[in-house]
Amino acid sequence: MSAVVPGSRLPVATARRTWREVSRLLRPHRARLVAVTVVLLLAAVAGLGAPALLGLIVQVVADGGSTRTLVLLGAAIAVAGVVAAALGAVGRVLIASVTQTSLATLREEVVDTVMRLPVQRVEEAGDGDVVSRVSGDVESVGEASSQVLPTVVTALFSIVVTAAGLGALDWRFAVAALAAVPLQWWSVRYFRRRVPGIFRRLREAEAERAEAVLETVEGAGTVVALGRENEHLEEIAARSRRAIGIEMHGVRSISWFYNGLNIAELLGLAAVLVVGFLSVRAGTVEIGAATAAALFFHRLFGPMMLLLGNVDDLAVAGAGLARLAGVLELRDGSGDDRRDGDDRGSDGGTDAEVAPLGPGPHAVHLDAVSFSYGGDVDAVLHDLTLRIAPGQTVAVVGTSGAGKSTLGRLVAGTLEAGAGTVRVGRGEAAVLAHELHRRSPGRVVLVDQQSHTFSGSLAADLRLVEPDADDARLHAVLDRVGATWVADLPRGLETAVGADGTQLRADQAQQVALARVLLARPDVVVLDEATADTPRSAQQTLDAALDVLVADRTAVIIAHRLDQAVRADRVLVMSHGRIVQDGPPWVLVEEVGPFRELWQAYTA
Amino acid sequence: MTPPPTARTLLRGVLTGGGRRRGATVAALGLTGHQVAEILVPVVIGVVIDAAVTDSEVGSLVLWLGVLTAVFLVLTFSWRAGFVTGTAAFQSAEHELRQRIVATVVDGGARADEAGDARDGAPASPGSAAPGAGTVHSLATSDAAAVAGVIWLLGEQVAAFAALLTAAVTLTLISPPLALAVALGIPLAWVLNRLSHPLERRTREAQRSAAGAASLAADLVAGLRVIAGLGAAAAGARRYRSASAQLRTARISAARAESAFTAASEVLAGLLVAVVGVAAGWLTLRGDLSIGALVAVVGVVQTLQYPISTVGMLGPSLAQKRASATRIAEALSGASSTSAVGTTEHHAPPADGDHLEIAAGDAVVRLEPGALVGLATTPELAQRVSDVLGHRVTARPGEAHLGGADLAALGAAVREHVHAPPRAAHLFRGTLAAAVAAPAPRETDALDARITGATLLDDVVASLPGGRTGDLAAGGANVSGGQRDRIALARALHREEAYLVLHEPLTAVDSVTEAAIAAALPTLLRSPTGRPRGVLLITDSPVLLRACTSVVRA
Repeated sequence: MSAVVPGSRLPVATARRTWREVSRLLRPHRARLVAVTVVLLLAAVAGLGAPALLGLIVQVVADGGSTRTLVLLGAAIAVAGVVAAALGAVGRVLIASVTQTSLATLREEVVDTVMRLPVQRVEEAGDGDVVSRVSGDVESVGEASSQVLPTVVTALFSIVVTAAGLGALDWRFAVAALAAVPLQWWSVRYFRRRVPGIFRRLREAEAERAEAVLETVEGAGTVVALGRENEHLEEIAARSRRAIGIEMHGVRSISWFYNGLNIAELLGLAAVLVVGFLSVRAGTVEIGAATAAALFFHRLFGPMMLLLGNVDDLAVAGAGLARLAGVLELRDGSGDDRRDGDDRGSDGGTDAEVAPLGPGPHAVHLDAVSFSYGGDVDAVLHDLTLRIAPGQTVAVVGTSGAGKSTLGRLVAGTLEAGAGTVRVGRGEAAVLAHELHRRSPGRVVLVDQQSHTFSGSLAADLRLVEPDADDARLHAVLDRVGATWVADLPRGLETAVGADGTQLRADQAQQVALARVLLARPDVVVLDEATADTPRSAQQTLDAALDVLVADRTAVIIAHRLDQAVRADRVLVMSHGRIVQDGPPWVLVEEVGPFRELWQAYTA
Repeated sequence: MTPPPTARTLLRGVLTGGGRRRGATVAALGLTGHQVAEILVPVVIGVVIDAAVTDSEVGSLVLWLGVLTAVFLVLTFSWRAGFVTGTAAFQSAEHELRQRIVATVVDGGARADEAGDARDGAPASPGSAAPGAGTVHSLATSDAAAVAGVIWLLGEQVAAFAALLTAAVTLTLISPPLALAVALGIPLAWVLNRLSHPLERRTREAQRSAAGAASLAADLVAGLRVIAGLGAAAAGARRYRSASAQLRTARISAARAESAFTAASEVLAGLLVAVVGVAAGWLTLRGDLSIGALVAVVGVVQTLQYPISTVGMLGPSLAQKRASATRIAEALSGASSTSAVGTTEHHAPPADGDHLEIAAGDAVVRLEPGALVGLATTPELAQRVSDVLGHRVTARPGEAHLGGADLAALGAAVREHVHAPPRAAHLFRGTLAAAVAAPAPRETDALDARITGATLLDDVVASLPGGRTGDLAAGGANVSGGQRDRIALARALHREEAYLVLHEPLTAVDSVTEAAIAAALPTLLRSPTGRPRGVLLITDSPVLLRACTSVVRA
């Protein structure tokens, strides 16, 4: 992993692709969407009851009607109110269940896709970009769908129904109400031209600020040791000021939009009043109808504001949605049955896809493998051919950048060879390493030099590998890697570890990593400097654990310490992407060459 | 030193601190102007309808349309003033809170937990540990936003009360008995307040659930290399699915509560409209009210739903802000109490730094400028020595001395003389040159050739697209572990302090490179400007220890 090209962010979907994903997610809920439409339509009609009946009250009063009629109309208003409220509530709950279910599917697919992305792709995009997709964007879309969407949809229905009601009273009112439209149209156009761009920039600026905050907090110890607290805070402040500047710009633009909408309301209302005034004077419209028309139009204000006023949140959510749909473009394979396949693959253990490989130990064959991390960087591995016998333990040594980690990743299948093939298995039954990694994960396991302890209990961390392992089994594997400190943890296996729990020391984290391998029971194991942080005092325990770990399987150990290398069956010395020495350690120690030089430096 | 913040002082600070008193006031006044104008619109509608039946004069139509225009201009532009000014005040308050949280956490987070450190073998206990990055992130974003949002809460509530008052006055002017309608609004607001508590609770649960799912996703991404290596993608995705399903349930349940609340407020407002409509109609039939007054009354009552439900949400909104403020206050005072030890004694007299001495178990390590001393010891003692010298934990009296000064009394001032970065120090984003020679990021030739040569940095430069000015990803994620070690070592060697304490600086480099660097270390006992310095190597590595002039084993 000597070099990747940073800044090649994950894709953002086009509006069309985004829409295609959304309609795919909504497809299973068609029946409920129809139900939502019907219920909200009825609710909006019932909602018109109050102003229509108030218009009737005015008419009854103007005609000198009876108190009894008034009371009946009052009762009708109350009933209409209850019906509208009840139907509205049902509609909103239905919307919530549809959107939240689809959204859950979407975010699960996104996380699932991210989990399966090649490590190299994630490194190119940067952790920040990936994290902001699975947390920030998921949250902004979630917020919008739970807060904004129901409001907007109900508002939309009541606008449509009210407009229709206005026409039903008298066509002239509907025409008058159109006076509001040109300015509304202009305002929306203004909004759509200016605001989405501003919000996109705002989200980017906020993501940059979040990156600076996270980096500063994660590296707090180093920041203070370097005496650079002020520089880091100033950097965050500068990014924050940039985000605020963009936000204020956006707020002013949005304000113009609202001002336009308000004036449009004024124009529409004035027109309805003028028509009402003139029609009543001319005797072509009853006073009750004129009142109802004015009240109808007035009633539009709220929904209109809710609808158009939430467009900014919808714009933010839309940007987030495009970023989520963009992640889905990276899905390998296609078809909706993919997820079921995954579940079987990890749950069952007796998966049909594993069958061709058969039980281990397995051989590993590299045939004319070359690899480059892309960009303008030189190839890391050159035309490498290598055969590792079943059950053999191979140690790889060499300077940084010699291509050791890349070799390890290719064997594990987390990287795919640029040229040549990497196969695991014997003869005809051998399968490509990256295929094996994708289709039968866990048969070949790689312990990366970067360790990570997952947030949550220590038991949960280990059960990522083996969900069904009981506590006794977890204790057993921890004992075998010499993790005696577990007994001193405040709550044993249930102690919270990771970012928000107990911080494990580097060597403790490495012991956990080895325990995971014991749980996984892979056929082939690749250890990339997996014991580099182990203090000398604990090395004996850990070496014993390593012996257990490599006993029944093929193992590639990218060795940090030469005493580990000399315990292996075979040593490969790498330099500049090539194998320069290959043989049993006891032979290489005697032979003139780089390994003997290393060994002499080590034991001097 | 300022007293530790409380929820109350934080919320008050949002409204009055940083010159926001004016902004918060303008925001409240602006929203008030908007709400009052909203109430006046139906009144004008009533007057116009009345004019149509009574005098039918076009002149009065024009006059009242002029009034309507004035009302709308007040409505829209006072809202604009409130919105823009309020946003500026909100942003300023949120910014201030965020900077304060990060500053405090950086200061406190740099200091390891002492209680846990004292127990041999056991890692730090989680209770007193500094908050994790995820927690800080949610404090600095959602909690800070909630607390700063008190500006909006105040504005909306003032505006809602003003709207109710305007309605009461208007109805009193039309017909005093109808003002009772507004009085009816008070028990309605109370009923809604009762109903809004479950809504608030479930909304908060949904938010917590959302934050949990988000931090789980972020954690899974952070551990993606581990997951990929184990082939545990499906298990990771499954874990997220269960958090996601929980979030889905929480959001739907919050939507139910919200729908119930909205429906209740609609039903109550509908009843109010029905009662007032019938009463006003009856008064009009008796001849006590004009038709226009009737229209105005029902119009006003119809607009009351919004201010009543706003008042009805006061209790829970305030509770939510107070909860966020309490979380921030706890983080601020918790972290500042750990750092208080260092800051209060910051003005201790500068030490005369002719030697550095620290106890490691029963042994004593003594370091002088120009010396290269090794310390080989248990992981716990190694951590302790490094943390004490870096002032990440407070020294016990007598444990360590710089010249004649006890480190226990010296506090953070020790950092002026001793550079002791934490083990596996963090690399920050930026160019390689800036990462290594941090104080002079602009000069690409700020790198000391002696140091870059000794740490074999040229090899890193060659592998990085862009070379010295090539970009390093956050945490040095785009270079290998061995390269990270060498960059961090080169950065430490570029420092000017009289003492350098390096804790396992080369765990990830290969043996060849380690041997080469070890051989060059004795030539680096002078800082880039030529001041002699003492280097303490806390390590298990025989190769590094062999390079030292003396080695202490403890």
